[in-house]
This record gives sequence, C-alpha cells and structure tokens, in this order.
Amino acid sequence: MLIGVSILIFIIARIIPGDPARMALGPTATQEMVEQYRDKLHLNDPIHVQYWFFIKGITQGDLGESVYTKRNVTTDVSTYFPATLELIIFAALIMVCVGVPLGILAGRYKDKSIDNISRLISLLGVVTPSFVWAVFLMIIFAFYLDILPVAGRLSQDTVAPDKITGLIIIDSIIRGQFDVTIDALKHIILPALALSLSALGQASRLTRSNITEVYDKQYIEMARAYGYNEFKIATKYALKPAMIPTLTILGLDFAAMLGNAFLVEFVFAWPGIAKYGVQAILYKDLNAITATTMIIATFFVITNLIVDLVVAYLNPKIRLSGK
Amino acid sequence: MKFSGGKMRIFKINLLSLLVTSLFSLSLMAGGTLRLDEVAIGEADPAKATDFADGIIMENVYDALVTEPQGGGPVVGKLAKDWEVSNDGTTITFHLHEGVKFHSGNDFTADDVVYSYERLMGLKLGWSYLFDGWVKGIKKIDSHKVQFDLNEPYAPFMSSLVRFYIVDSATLKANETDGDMGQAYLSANSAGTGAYSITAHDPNVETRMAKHNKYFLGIAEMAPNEVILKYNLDAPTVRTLIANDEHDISSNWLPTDVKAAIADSGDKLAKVVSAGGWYFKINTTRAPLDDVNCRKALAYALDYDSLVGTFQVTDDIAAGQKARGPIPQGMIGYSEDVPLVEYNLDKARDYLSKCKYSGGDLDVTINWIAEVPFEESWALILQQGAMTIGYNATVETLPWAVFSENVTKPETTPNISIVAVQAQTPDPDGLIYNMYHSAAAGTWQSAEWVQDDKIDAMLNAGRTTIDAQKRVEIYEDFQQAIVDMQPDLFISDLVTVYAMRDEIKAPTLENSAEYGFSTMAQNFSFRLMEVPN
Repeated sequence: MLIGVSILIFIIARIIPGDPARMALGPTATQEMVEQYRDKLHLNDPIHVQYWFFIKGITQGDLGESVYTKRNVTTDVSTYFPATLELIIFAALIMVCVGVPLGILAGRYKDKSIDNISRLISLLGVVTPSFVWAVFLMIIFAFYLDILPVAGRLSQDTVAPDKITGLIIIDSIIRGQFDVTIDALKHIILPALALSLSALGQASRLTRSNITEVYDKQYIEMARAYGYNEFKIATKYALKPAMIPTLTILGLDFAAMLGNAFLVEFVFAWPGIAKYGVQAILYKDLNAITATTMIIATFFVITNLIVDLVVAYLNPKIRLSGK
Repeated sequence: MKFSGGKMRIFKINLLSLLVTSLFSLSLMAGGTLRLDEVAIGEADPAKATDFADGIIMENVYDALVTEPQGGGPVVGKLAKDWEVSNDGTTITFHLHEGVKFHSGNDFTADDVVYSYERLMGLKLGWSYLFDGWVKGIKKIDSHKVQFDLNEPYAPFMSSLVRFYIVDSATLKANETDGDMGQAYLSANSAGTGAYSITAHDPNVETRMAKHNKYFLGIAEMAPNEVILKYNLDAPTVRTLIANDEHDISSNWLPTDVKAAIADSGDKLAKVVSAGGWYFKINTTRAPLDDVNCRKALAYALDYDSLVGTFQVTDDIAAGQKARGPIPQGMIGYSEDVPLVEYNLDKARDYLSKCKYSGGDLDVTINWIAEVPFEESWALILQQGAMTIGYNATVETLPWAVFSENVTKPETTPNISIVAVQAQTPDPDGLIYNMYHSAAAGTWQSAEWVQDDKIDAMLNAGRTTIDAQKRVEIYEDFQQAIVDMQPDLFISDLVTVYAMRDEIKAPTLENSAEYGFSTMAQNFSFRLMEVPN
C-alpha cells in the first residue's frame, strides 16, 4: 500500500504547476543556474529514473534535499515530526478524556439536561473548524486574559532539553527539568484544545449514540433485574461493547489530526510537520511533499493496525473468528 | 583615480556610528531581546541568500566591501577603506580595513575576499548572477589589497558588490564536508564580520542572533543583545504577541487593518520607502494589449485616487505613494519631468478609439496573486475603469507557483498581473534590466515581454557607460521611453509599513527618509536600534 501511495504522490507532486528549481533559486537566477539546479535534483531525468533515485535514497535514509529549507528532508522530518506528534497525542488525550465521558454521561442520561449540554458542546465542536477555535481561544486566553502563551513550543528564554524522543514534555520529565515541562504544557494547551475540539465533539456524539443503543439491549435490562448497581452495569456490560465502533472512529480521527494540524500549527507558530508539508506544496518542494505524505500515510496504517488489534482484543467475535 | 568623495562618505558613516555608540554608552543598561518576523524562510548562507528575510540576516551577520550610503548616492566603503578604478573602468583595486575580526576571532584579510568570490561563483547560486560574465578574475595584491578585473566596463559593478558578502575562509575550510565549501556549516552557523552572529537557525521557524561585541563599526549600547527573527507568523498571532509585549516588529505583510489596530492600541508604525514599485504588468505580446493605444486607454481609465485610498493605513501613514514610472523617487534616473498619468475617461476613450481592436476583441483578464489578498481590490479598481470605457475585463486569482510558471511563455502570461518588484542593488540596473531587457524575459519580473531594440540599447548603454552624469541622462530618457510605451500601469513606489512595539526605537525604520537606505533590508540594522532590557 505504501509503495502505491509513494508512486501516486510522486506523480501528483510533479503535475502541480511550477518549476521547483526556479521556486528555490528565485526570480533573478539565470536560466543556466536553474538548469544546473534541475540537474542536481534529477528533474531533467525521466520520471521513472527520478523515482528510482527517490527509492534508492529512502533505502539509505536519505529523502533528498528540500528546495524550501535547502536542508536534507530527513533532517527536516526529524526536526518537525516530533512537534506534531506531541501536539496530536495531547489533542487525542483531550479528545478521549473529555469526549468519551461526555458521551457516556449523555447516553446514560438521555434527554436530560446533561445530555442537552453535552450535545450542544459536541455540535459546536463538530461544526466549528479548528482554525476558528484556534483564533477564538487565542483571543480569549492570550489576548484578553493573557494567561497562556500563544506561539511556539517553549518560551523564548527556556532552553529545550537534550533530545531523547523529540517530545519536549516527555524529554523534560525524563531529564527531570520540570520547569521546562510546565512551560511546554502551558504552550501546548491552546493548540491541542483547538485541534481536539472537533474530534472531541465527534467522539462524544458517537459514544452517546452507541451507549444509548447498548442501554436498549435486553441483557442490560437483565443485569438490572439481577440487581447489579448502575456503575457495574455501565463499566462491565455497557461500555465495552459501546466502545468498539467508537474506538475505530477515534483511531481514524487521531491519524487524521496529523494532516489537519496545519492551520492550528500556523496560528500558534507550532513548528510541526503539517505546516512544513503545506509550505512544501506552496514551494513545490517535491522531496518534502513526498516525504510528508508518506509519513502521514504510514501513520494512518500504523494507527489503523493498532486500532484493529485493540478492537480484536476487546471483541472476542473478531479475535476468534479465524479459529 | 581616487574616490575622495567615497572617503568622505566613509568618514561620515563611521562618524555617525561613533556618535550613536557614544550617545548610548552614556547609559549603563544593555539592550534586551529584539523579536521580529518575516514571511518567507530565512537563508543563512550568504552565497544562497536572495530573499528579503535573508537580507535581514545578511545585513546584520555579514559585511560587504561596500554598502549603500545614508541619504542616497553612490555606494560607500564598508570592509573596503577605499578603491581605485583604472581609466578604462575594467580594473578595480580595493584597500581593505585592517583590524576587522570575524565572529571566530580570525582577522579579515584579502584571502577572505578571494575565497568568498570563488565560493559564490563556485556554488552559482544566490547573487552570483550579478557578476557572472562580467568579472574576469580576482586576485590578492597583498594581505589587505585585492583587485577585480572585468571583461569590459560594467557601471553597476560597484552597486552589485553590496550583495557580495565576505565569509571567514579559515572557518569554512576547517568545517568543509565532502568539498561542500562549508554549505552544511553555514546552514546553522555564521562566519561573517557583522554586528551579530547566528546562535541558532531553523529556516522554517526562527533565526537567533547574538551581539558581536568586537564589531569594527561599533554597536549602540542599547542595541539588542539577542535578536529572534521568526518566520511565517499568522496575523492574529503577531497582533496578540505585540499586545502582550512578546513581539517587537512585524513584517510588512501584516494586513492593513491589523496594522491599524496595533497603531490604535498605542503601539506605532514605521514607514519605509524602498527602491521598487507595484506594477500592473501588461503582457505586450497578446491582443488586445499588444497595441500601445489599448494600453494607454487603460492607463487613463485607472482611478488613481481610489487606488491611493487603499494604501492608507492610518490618517498619517500610507503604504504607497503615486509612481511616475518604473524608476522610483530617489533612484538615479527618476525624473520629475515625466508627467504623472491622471484618471481621465475622455482621454481613455480617445486612446481606445485609436486602438486597432474594438468590441468583442477587448477581452482582458486581470490576475492577482492569491497569497497577496489586498491585490484583489486593486484588480477590481482597474476592472471597473476598464469596463467603463468598453473593455470586457475579468478578475482572476493565481497562486504564486502557477503564476511564476505561466509567465515563462508569452502565450500563457496573463494579460495583466499585479506584482511588486524591488531593486536587487542600489543601481537602477538592478531594478529595470530584469523587467524590460529582452534577454531577461520569461520571469515574473518581466511579465510585460518587452522585446524592443531601443529599450535594449538604452539598458545596455546604462551598463557600459561609466560617466555618472551620462548614466543619469540615459535612465531619464529610459523612464520617458517606458512611460510612452506603457507596458505597465504604475500603481505605486514600493512603500513598506511595519508595526512596532512602542518601546522599541529603530531610527533606520522610523526615520527612513533620513537614513535613505533603499534596497532589500538595509533598514534592519539591529546595531542602530534600541531595545529596553
């Protein structure tokens, strides 16, 4: 599948109008300079030869030179990917920790006031684009209240911990630099919240719908007849089956955040791979476009694989169907 | 011949630097951190840098042999004390300052000048095209004397040297990887003599610079100790950061209403007139605008007062000033004798009646660049004027990448496109050659596709005529010739407006007319700024 994606994106990237060499060298470069640079990037070779160079590079851990940053794309990816990964992990945590309980409460207390409030929050989350949330949150918490920072991963005087994972919060905890952890947490709250709100709304609505459906099943009524308390019914008999379809969608939402983070990263000056990928498209940076797309595709595949494994674990019908 | 005038200007520029330094030395405080932003990514290698953000880095981290003078006029020495030019104009010998230190502590010598030139031409990137084909060779005469030999007289040569930045040859040789001439090293470090050195550089995020205390021209006491140049910040982010005192100077590309809001809330705006302009570029090869009368008709149908109204940021600050022709006010060749074109529909209709096209043949498309939203209002103003006199004008937007691809062929170049062009060097050649010479056609700067022998001859003469007065006459004649030909509608001279935090003092931006720096980012001289700690 990844090979198919790589071929597809390799071809599409070359169809986008614009000469990457000209874009890289600027309008004043002579045609001779442009041609020399095109040769360096193998752009004058047939497309299958270009693809061969690309694949050969990948096998050597070399994703080629970025015409946008003039650095090796491998360096760019290793610099920017951890920032986005940290952001979407935090956003996913908010999505799961807030969205799912909100959906459970709404499903359990269907048509009560808590359900109405939950549905209103969910609806607002789903219908409002992330970048609108980003600007809205910035105006409230940074511009008027001035209680949360608005740009970057750390304050200007805070030195990032030496890289272990590239995720500053994790690295600072491992290295015991807790002041850095707190600073990083302050910086990630607004972008993560903005990114998570639409997925949070979807998680809440989905959980509510599935919980409502499960609570209508006869075995729940049977459990009540046996005199089990409501907490046990909810956690042991209702939540597990209700979470299986929810989990699949949450997994997809999590993976989709990687591509959707662009505008949030742009608003909060978050140095991530999504922003880098979009800039790469605008500059027709072929190597960076291909690398970014491949990363997103790989991330989707891995996330789906993990979700399938978890669903199989939770659902014996799936786990045992092959036996 | 000796450049005694040049020496006097060197004396003045150094005297001013000393005065500024002495004044600020009275204060015991040291400057704080200056934070500013630009839209494009920053290139830290002087052999690759060409963009405006790159220019800010170059202005502060590297020095050239010569620089633009304060108040305009011919270039003055910077790393060069003075120079001699042979009678035939093809040999230029530079005497270099002694005692200048690179960031590494190494001494600046003629070897560094020779290495920097060989590196620039070896990589064939960045500003190398300014010298390509003109310079026969460079040689070291002694440790602080270097000589350039030209193939033929080239009047813009001295101005071009403003973009020739000197690198520390010993540092780059020591940090060379696989014969890369220090490219990898300079992607994250600096090797210049400038007032600031690079401490961290991520081309997509920010460049951090620290004061180089041994800078040979001196640094103001309250000049920033550290500078953080950020890239690609969103407008609401900049607005919030400035309001929270977390950002000091915006880029020029902040929307006008955001600049106005910042000024309303007690911060300030700085206006800088640059060497360049905004143009409606007309493709002179495609009907109906291949007829000069059709182009003249459009020139008189454009409502310049409405256009000027869109420049207004506040009551006092306008991000534009009416242009007379392709050469902006203050540059050699600008002439008040060239009459301003005024909005006059009767004249427009008169010209249109002389045009060989009429009725259904008068279809034109006006393109504006998608990444520059305020261009749309200009396109609509022109559309309205054009439709009033009988054109069928449509307005379309194009992303920059598509536009820059389309202009490579005359048949795909839009009828009319809106573009800003800034001079690459202080010489008019650095602005107009790339726009109007037939050899330079096929780029976004030359979307007019002017293929005219008379224009080519004037531009060639401007390059090879050494006599300064004769060059002025050539470029004044050129200005009139272009206005007569009307390959462009001249929107405005290039004026940039920056929003600034009130506590920052940046005389080179705030009093730009007095400082007179004009091209690229020479107004962003951090060493002359004051930043409270």
